[in-house]
Amino acid sequence: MAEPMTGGRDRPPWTTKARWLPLGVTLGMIALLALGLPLLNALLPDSEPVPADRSMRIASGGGHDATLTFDPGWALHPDSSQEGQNYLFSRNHVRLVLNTVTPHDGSPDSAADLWSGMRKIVRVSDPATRLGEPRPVASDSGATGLSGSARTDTEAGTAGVFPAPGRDFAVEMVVMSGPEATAADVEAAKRAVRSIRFTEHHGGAP
Amino acid sequence: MSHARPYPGTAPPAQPTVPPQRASGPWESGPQRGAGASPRHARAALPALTARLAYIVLCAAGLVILLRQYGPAARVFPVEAVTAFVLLAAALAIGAWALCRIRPVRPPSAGSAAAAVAWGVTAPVGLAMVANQALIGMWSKGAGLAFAADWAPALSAPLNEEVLKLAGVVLIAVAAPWAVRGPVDGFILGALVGLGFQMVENATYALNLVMQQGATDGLQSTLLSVVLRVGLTGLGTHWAMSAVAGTAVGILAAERWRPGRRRAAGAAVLVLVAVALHWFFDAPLLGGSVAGTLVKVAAGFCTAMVVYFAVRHGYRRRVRRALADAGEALDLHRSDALALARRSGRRKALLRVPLPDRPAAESRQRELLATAERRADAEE
Repeated sequence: MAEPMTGGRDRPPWTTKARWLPLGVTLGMIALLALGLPLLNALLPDSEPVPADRSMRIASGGGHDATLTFDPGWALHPDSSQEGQNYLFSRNHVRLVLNTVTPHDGSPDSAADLWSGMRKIVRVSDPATRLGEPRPVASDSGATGLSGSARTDTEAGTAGVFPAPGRDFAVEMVVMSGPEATAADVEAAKRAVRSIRFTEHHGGAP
Repeated sequence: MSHARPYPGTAPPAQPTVPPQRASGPWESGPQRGAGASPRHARAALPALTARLAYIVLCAAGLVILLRQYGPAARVFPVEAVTAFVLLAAALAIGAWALCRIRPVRPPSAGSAAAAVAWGVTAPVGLAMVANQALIGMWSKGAGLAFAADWAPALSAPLNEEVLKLAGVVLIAVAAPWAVRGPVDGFILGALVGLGFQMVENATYALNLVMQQGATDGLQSTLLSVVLRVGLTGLGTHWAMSAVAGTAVGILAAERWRPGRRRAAGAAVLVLVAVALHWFFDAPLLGGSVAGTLVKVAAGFCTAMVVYFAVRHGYRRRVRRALADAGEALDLHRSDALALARRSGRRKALLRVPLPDRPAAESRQRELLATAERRADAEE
């Protein structure tokens, strides 16, 4: 496939082999990124233990930190978690999904508005998820919010939303468990949710 | 003398047998087409056929992943999704038009431009979701959530996304060698790939912001995201990075994928610069302020412009030289020949031709330009 040229400098002729090289390198790189990385990630442990009976900062903003305290036996899934934003915790067959939301200035941000928004957000990960009617609740530390039932086709649980004192952010939590979950695990999840505490932010690591 | 000719004289100059001609479609024509009877030609066409097949499969895979990841959010927030889609599709159309316009001498073929945009909005978006999720997951597991929150995006997206976007330019260059004949083509097609990627990524960011803001006023969240992503950061992100990296593919393609050491090093530097720009944009540097973001955007935009004007200058110089030589052979005034290098010059030349003869004159202009561009590519 060599092609003569006029007016140009000498350059390599077209060859079939030369075209396979960029194609092979490109497809190899794509395979490495789209298949190799997920495989490597799957080889690493997908959860790590959560320190028990120690408050864990899960969100901050507007001069306040939000913390949770866990019983022994909880695991954090780093793959599905992003510090300060969202977390996935589990304890045997119980899952606790936590999201921090930050309504922008001027948008409705009452607990009722946030509950209404959460009704939609939970349907993104599972369209079958339905939240029940909310009722006012208070955490062990006195933080006020709303709580209600949560249900999918196969699981049941509770959801809660707790706005921070300054309304700069809110913590939304959904606890779900299948029929195989034990009462102790479900109760541990309820205790974790009730442990939410907002404290004035002093900076530094949690 | 026929008025149909924007230049006097006899036949157009003899065409040098140089790199393959441009075609209007992404996979149309080319040196191998119609010559597939012999086994040698069939073997020669195999890389291009494989590249086309890979392009189609990977675009489909990317689209499926994208729909699986963001389809549920679009179903739950239909108004927000449609709003983002309409606004970003308009931005994409305007951006693609502008990028096609800035190609010196002539716009890229509609087919190659469409193929670049189609790759950008599908394959790298979906595949990068998979790759980023895995790599960020590894950073989270290995270095902890706190480190990952700050650094995982900067240590994952630049590598994954720049490679996956660039892969589209390589596939187009192998599948349709006439579409990527030099750095100018690489720059423009790279920019189109990046622009398509950027707009779909913006749509996903808009839906993410709706949820991050509690879905209490989804439309406002969507508009805020789109305005910031298009108006504030849009000028210096993916399109600019991919344009810089795409130029490298143009350099290698011009060398028939067997560059000398100097050009190979130049191409590698361009890809590394694109990755570095992406890293700089994603890194938690400059405090995340608006001023800091503008510095990052300016870095991307200015780098792309430096590369653009460098390749544009060289390309225009070579095309003008080729046009001047062709004009001399046709006894065409030098200034008239050189004017054909610009769109306005070609328009003015055509306006001097009587209306019935213009189609033929336009056709001859195209032939002359094609010859000049092929010669310019050969001299690259």
